[in-house]
Amino acid sequence: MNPEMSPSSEVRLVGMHCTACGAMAYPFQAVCPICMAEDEVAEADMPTTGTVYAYSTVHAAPKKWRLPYTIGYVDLSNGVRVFSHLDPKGLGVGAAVYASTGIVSGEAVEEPRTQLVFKAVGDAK
Amino acid sequence: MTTGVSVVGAGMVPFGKFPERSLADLAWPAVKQALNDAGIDPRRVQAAFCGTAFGGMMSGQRILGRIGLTGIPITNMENACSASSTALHHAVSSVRSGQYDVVLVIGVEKLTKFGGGTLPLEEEDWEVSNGMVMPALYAMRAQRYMHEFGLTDRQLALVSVKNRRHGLLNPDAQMRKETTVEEVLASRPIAEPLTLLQCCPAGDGAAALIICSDKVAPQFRTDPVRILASDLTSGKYTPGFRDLTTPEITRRGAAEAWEHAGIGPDAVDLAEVHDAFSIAELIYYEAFDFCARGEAGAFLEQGHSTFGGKVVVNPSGGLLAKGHPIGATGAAQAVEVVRQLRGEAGERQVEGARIGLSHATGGGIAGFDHGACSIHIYAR
Ligand SMILES: [Zn+2]
Repeated sequence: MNPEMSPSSEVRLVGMHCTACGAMAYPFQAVCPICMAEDEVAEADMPTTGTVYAYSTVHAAPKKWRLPYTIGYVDLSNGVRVFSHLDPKGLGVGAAVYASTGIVSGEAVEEPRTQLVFKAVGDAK
Repeated sequence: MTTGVSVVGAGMVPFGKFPERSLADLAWPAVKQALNDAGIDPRRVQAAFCGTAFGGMMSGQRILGRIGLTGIPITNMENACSASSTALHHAVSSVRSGQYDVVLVIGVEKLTKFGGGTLPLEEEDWEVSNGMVMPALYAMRAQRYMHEFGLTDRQLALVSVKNRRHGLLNPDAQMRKETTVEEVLASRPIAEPLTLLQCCPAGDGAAALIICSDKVAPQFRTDPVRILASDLTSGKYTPGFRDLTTPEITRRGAAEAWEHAGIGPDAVDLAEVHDAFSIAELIYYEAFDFCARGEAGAFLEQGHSTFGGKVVVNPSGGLLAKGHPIGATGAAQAVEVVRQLRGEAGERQVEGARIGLSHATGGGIAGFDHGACSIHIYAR
């Protein structure tokens, strides 16, 4: 899933918000996984900053990926966990990161594909 | 009314790479071995449960067609790495409920058909389509565990060293060569901090079990291995925080299994646990309460999980050395436990083993700790 780009080119993370129980999730899902509500579920913007819970730099993966690449779990400031590619620069467990984009897959060589990539705060270009 | 359930037959083919062999030809010898081990007329088998993740349609029928054991209900079961432990669970349930007296369990997988590399996961899954691979999931567990509890690289590598040492004693193991901490750490990185020798090898294999009611067991063997607990559960989906340093699914499954069996971790002589990657075994020491939280590294280092220790973990060599043809794993773990409890394990015999445990868990999908987990406890 690609992050949506707003006109100002800022990354938006469109997730789920359930007004029945307050649960949030990313990416969006039509039924609340916590209370099973359907009618009370709506799309909602997630915060685009968080902290790195854990990550790994991968050296073996299916052919479509350009190696090595770094993936991990980012815990957003609202408690939602996002699995994402990460920019290894300045990364560490607990590091503060923000949502950005980058080209990470091998497929992108033929057909450039912009994908969600979290980057360490302070390592902005 | 429920009845007691026992294992009276166990068989497996040595795990390894057999690209030239079909899935059916890989598995039927394991079935024959289990039938012979039970000394049972194949016509007594009333139903078969076949676990495989990538075997394809009608795996059980293809296998049993080879030996003429057909015309009975054959159910094929997919549950990733827990496929044949799930099959075992349903086989046990069918006997316990009185539906059948004698059933067959098969676990089979042929991973060489993919030509090596990481396991092909389901691309429909959101994390998988964004680059998740199994080694990375376990690597994150390792990183986080090291971060929180101060586990060292060397302690992590020691899991592979121990299980290779155990595998050396197992003629059915895929990797029969000892290794050292230095060698493990110097092998090429797969998903940091995990190196190649901290990842289970890809391979092919099959295992089979004859399960029956306690009522008919004495017709086949004088030493049936009783199943005290057969637990199956799935992970709990959560969109938020999950503690990667402790497997909620295994912890919950273990609590259920202890309760069913009426025993606790202190009673276990040997445990075949799901060491797909080095860190996994350490996390499972704690999930089964073999040691306290954060103490797995020291528990291993002090020799508590090898021969002569408190509980021999993965005497077969585990997934790291015996191999992990994923759908075959649960059944093969049960085969090892049966052999250990009968005193048939040769050089790797756990002395005086009376209680054994097997644990297969897996399935890397978004939002789950693991997709499935099946735990069995056995007694002689
Ligand atoms: Zn809800």
